[in-house]
Amino acid sequence: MKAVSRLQQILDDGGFAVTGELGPPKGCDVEVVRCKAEHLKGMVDAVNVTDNQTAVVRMSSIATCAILLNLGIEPVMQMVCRDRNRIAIQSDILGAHGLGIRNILCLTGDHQHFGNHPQAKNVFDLDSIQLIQTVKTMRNEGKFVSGDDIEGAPNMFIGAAASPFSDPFEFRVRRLAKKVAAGAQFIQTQCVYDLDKFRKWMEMARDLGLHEKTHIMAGITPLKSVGMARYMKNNVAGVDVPDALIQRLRSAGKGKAAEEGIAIAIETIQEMKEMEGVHGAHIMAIEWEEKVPGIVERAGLLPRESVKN
Amino acid sequence: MIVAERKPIAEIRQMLESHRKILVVGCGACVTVCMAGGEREAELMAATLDLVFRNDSKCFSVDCVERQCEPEFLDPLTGKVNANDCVLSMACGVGVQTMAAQFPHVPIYPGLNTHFMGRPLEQGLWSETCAGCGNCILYKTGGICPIARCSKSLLNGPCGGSVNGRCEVDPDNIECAWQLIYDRMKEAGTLDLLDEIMPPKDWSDSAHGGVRRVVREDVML
Amino acid sequence: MRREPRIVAFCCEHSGKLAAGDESSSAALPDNVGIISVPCSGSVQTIDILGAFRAGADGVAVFGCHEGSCKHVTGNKMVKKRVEYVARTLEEIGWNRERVAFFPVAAVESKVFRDRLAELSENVRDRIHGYEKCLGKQSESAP
Repeated sequence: MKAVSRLQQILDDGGFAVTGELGPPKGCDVEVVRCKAEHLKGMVDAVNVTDNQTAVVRMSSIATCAILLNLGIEPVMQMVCRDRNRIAIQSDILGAHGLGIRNILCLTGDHQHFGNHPQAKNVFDLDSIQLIQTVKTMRNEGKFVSGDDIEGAPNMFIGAAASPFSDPFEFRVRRLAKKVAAGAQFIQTQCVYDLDKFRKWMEMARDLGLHEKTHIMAGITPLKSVGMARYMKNNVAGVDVPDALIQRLRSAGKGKAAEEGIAIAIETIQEMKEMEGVHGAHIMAIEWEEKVPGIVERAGLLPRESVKN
Repeated sequence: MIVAERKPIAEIRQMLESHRKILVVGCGACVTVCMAGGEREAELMAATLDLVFRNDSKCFSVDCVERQCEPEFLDPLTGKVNANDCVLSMACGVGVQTMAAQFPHVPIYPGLNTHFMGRPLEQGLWSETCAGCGNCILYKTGGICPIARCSKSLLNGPCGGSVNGRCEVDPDNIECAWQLIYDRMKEAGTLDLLDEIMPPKDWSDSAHGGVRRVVREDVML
Repeated sequence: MRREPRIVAFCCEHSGKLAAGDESSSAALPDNVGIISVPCSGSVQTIDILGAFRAGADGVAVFGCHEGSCKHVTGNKMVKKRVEYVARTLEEIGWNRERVAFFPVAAVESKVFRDRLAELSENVRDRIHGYEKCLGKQSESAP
């Protein structure tokens, strides 16, 4: 199958892809998007745009992706199942395609309890696996979930998330296999700090041959401080920060934790480059986008290859 | 059964403020079992309201019926209802509406908030168990309902928010339904069933599809 | 003349009732206190406590055995929960939750018994008098 996006081309050609992430503003100021995008342009192959992450209302992912396209950046549109039913989802997929968006990351979505509108009614008409299946059916069969024909099928590169550190651990790889079977062509994992556990998970994934059926990209989030490390360890589901890492940040000395956090991120990327079955790094430096160029450069990932369209 | 809970007194007080003679009616079915609106709770409610309105000259009387959701059980109440200015129903939302349909000329106030279909986990603790989705798939998930017991009603769970068998939405109080399903099916040796992708649910059989009815013509008069 | 608070004391016959002493004991109980003897503090239901208030009590005490000493094992534990339920209900209706209390007491602890009753009466008395002052009159009942 011919690649529909730069991200797909790089991965399908066997390269090590790099993606970034951008959280849209809690308002209409497009300038915010432009500023964040400036840091990432040319440093990564594509930029994920979050979809009302943590159930906090932000500028929509589809609109922000369109803005990125205008800035010459390839977006990965994240789409959650929390806020839209299958009618709106399929409609947005058609619209996204019409705007030139070609990468979609299919997610369940954080429960609205965590956001700024906990009294909202949620949707979850579909779950992430059914969403992956929906996009694949739209693309490959040119049909909606209802079975009706689509007048002009959307051609998307389909991605999904994976959570190696959530429970039940033994079941996670089987669920990943379900996502791949449903049509996930690339996977971005939750941020990795516990390399031993991640290696174990990759081993289980390779045992099922998943590394040959999909492109796994490891999630990397540089730690800014001991406080951030502890917060993520205790409050973010699916994120496991080993105590040794927290100790390392503490030992770096006053004011030096951020630098150490970046060093850890770079080391992790370098590990990932060598790990069998890992085809890329997904760098989530949320509200710290300015650090991405440095990380990418020091990890030996520059220049990003140009892709023949 | 249907699980409900007594409304805050302040709210009930506002409802009854302008009335003088109030009949408190309990229900002998679900709300007795979940200790929210049975005969005992109706008595307690009347006693409490007596204290609330102590310096007003209100008059509270109490009765209880087998089930407030069926007109046959409400017929004997007619005299008492007519002798009062209003009724405080201690039944679930179904009972309140049946009372209101039976006695349209008398205000029927809900004394409870109806919550869910569930069961007791221990005395004094009731948990949501069934969502009434209209299309039961319990045989596919080891007898544990993901629609009612997964915070996101996932059919191909769990999501990334499952940690130590708890749901991240409220880890103290909510178990991850998919962890429970996984454990149950692992023990039963039926985990392979979970490798199948469950397709999108047909929600038209649920409350989302519109107001539902069930008919059995063979028993209609 | 300010009226004395009317106190109802449910007394377990194994502990509270004995601590209260009988009519012939030298330190008779004050007139504003009414004793209701029960076979176990656990037999006192929520409706009984509310009923006492409904009948005009200003304060209600439940005297039961100390923790671990209940002849019926969990009677005192269960009634404590009911007392707490009533206390919360009183709060909900705008009354002072200290009008109701559970007091553990042993059969020989007569002084403890009288002290607790006095404490409860004091709490309730202040409340009645405060309310009356507010209204500028004596009231039949007050929150």
